[in-house]
Amino acid sequence: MKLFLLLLLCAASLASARGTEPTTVTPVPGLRPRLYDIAGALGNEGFKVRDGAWRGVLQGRKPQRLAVNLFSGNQYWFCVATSATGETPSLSLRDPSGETVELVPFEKDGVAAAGVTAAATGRYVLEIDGSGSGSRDFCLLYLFK
Amino acid sequence: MEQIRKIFLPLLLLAAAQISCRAAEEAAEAIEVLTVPSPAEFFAALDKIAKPDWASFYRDPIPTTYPERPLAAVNLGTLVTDGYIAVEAQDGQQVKNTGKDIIALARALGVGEHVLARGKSISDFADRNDWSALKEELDATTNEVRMAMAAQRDEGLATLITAGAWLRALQAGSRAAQLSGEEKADETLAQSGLLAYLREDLEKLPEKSRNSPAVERVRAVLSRLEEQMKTSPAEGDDQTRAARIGKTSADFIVSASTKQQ
Repeated sequence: MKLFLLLLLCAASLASARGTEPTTVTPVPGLRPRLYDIAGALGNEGFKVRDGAWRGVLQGRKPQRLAVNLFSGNQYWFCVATSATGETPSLSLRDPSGETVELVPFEKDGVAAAGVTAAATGRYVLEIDGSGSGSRDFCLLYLFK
Repeated sequence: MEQIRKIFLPLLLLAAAQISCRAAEEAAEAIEVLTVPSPAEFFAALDKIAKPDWASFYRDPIPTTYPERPLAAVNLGTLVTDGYIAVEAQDGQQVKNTGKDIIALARALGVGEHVLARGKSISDFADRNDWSALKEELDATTNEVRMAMAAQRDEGLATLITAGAWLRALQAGSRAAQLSGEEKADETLAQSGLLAYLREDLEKLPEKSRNSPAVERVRAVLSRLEEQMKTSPAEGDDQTRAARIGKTSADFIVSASTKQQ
């Protein structure tokens, strides 16, 4: 009977965990301008900044994943920064078939950037990993050419 | 013992199923969509492969008033893509003409004041042949209209603008792919995931909006194109995939911009 109750409690806790709301943190102003230092330099190389940025929260070392539609033959740069002092996040990318794509990495003043030429058209998954702890904001933008 | 197994086994299976379900959800919940790419990205890819004669994709001017707001939103989106096509063709006068139509339709939708300044910038950049700045200006204009729509709680119209832009982009892009005959150009048309995202966005609208004739038509054409994109490029009796996508999107664009419906 004890085992039966334990299993019921286990099932109930799993069900409620699925409904947990993600934690939100007030966005830190100034995160996006930091990205524009690098974006501006890339702009001089003919890259266009997408009008829009993705903001979110990194919790501990749990990565954030983002689906992006890329087009074969286009060159892309992804730039990301977090609000944590001294933290430089890292970026990785998987192609539409789930294979890891080799990126050209770049870092400057806590901003991480990664460049790639898309080999295929389709939905890629970009992963942002942080080395810090706790909740902190991040902001990502990308450019294409 | 057998009785205990009968009771516990389904419970264990239930718990195990929920664990795997939660793991799958944890993996999936972390994935978000940044933004729908702009037609400029699509055209940039096509330009590298096919070198299209962009001016050949112009169309006759379309009306700038419509009886239904959703239809006006779809046509506003198609006009934005007309702007990108004119930029690719490096045709300043055509960009200015399209810019004026965009402002007129935005006004008809009640968000004209948000993009009036953009209209002036578009005209200035066109005079200076600053094609790079024009692409960014068109991007920004679309986003401002979309944000103004969202502020008016008209997110459905914002999605319709994006859908209209992509349907017109697919019409031009599929023609460019056909004309080039390049396999790589055809590959750029495989955007079923993007169309599914837009269709699902429209399916989330409140019932009244979701079932409006214009929204239903957009959902239907997106769904049809999704299916066509999943076929192989050469599959089909008498048409290539690019030709089928081109015809479906062109039929929609023509009927959506025809006032008397």
